[in-house]
Amino acid sequence: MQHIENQFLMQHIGKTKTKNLVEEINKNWHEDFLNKFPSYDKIVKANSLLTTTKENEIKNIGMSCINDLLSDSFGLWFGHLLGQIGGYNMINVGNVSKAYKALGAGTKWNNTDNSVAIGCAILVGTGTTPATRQDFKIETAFTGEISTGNGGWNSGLGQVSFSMSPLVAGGGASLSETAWYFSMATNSAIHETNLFSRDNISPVVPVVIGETINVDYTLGFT
Amino acid sequence: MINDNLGILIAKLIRPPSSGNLFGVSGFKDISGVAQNLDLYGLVTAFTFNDTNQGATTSQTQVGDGATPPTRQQTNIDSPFSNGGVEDGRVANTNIGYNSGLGKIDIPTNFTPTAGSGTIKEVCKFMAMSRAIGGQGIFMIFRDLTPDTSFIAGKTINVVHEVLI
Repeated sequence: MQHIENQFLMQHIGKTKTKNLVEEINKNWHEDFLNKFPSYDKIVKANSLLTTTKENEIKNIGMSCINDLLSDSFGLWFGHLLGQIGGYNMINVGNVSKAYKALGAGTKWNNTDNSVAIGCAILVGTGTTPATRQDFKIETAFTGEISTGNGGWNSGLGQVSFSMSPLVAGGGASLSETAWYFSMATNSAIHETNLFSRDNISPVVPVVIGETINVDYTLGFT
Repeated sequence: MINDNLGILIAKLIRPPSSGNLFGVSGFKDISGVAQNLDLYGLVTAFTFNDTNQGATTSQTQVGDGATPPTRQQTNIDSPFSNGGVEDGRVANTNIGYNSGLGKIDIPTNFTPTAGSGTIKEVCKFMAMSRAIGGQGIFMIFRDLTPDTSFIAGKTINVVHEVLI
């Protein structure tokens, strides 16, 4: 996490009364951000964690650098999806290597045989260890796996966006990490869950019981 | 630049956990610009977009000399070569690999032009995927302009798409 970049973003706290903070950042602050931080040529699309007060005013935000955003599991899955026929292994959230197939015949990662539920969830936590591509689970979960909605593609912005179902905090915490989980079928049509992204949030976002937690992910493409 | 085909594919693969019947999606356009539907999730007996029972799910690259700036709505290469050789068409990718240390996916293609010469100005990547109505469709997913690169018959061309994640 980059403190000076978050200082820049913190200038906008309280000025945005919308859940579409990432879209507003990319639309209105993108050029200003890149002018101040030219090394972040690729950063613009990143994760953000929003918390809202009951008045729906943005309370705090955190963003993470895209360079450490996506895990080895995502890289392997996406790389094979782009055309590498055959099997590959990913480390599940239990830190166990499991075999999958992206393209080909027979059982593949997107097969729903044996009632395998395939799809995405987001978790929020309080871990502070810097994210790495080798992460396989959230460090310290505050929430369970909260289902996402359907992903959406914005052609004009070149973004895929998806959100966690809003969650009312059942207790207080200082939220410092988010994780994107993707559950899919192994070669044996068994349900396994893999971490596709883990992000640090700095400064941490304090929540108290009763506050609503919203998490929106945006994957940017050029 | 990735085009709408790949953006839609990635977006629609992201969904709340669900099992059961086929989950199909529209909005893809093949290399002829014809709208196609793909089945993204389902039982193994119901052929999804990544199943080879409807045809080989190959990954291909093509080079050309078109210079039109890429747009997300493009569905095919701008200007393919017409030398009458290998360089005119799509060539299969080999050994797509993920590099954890560099955070990238490399998509290599090596081929030797067989008929003539030219100057490469654009590179496109395609995926052959199984369609919901059966059979295979060819879909472009990337198109990028490149610095001018000259080639002649008999000299191998190495093309590598790097996808940074």
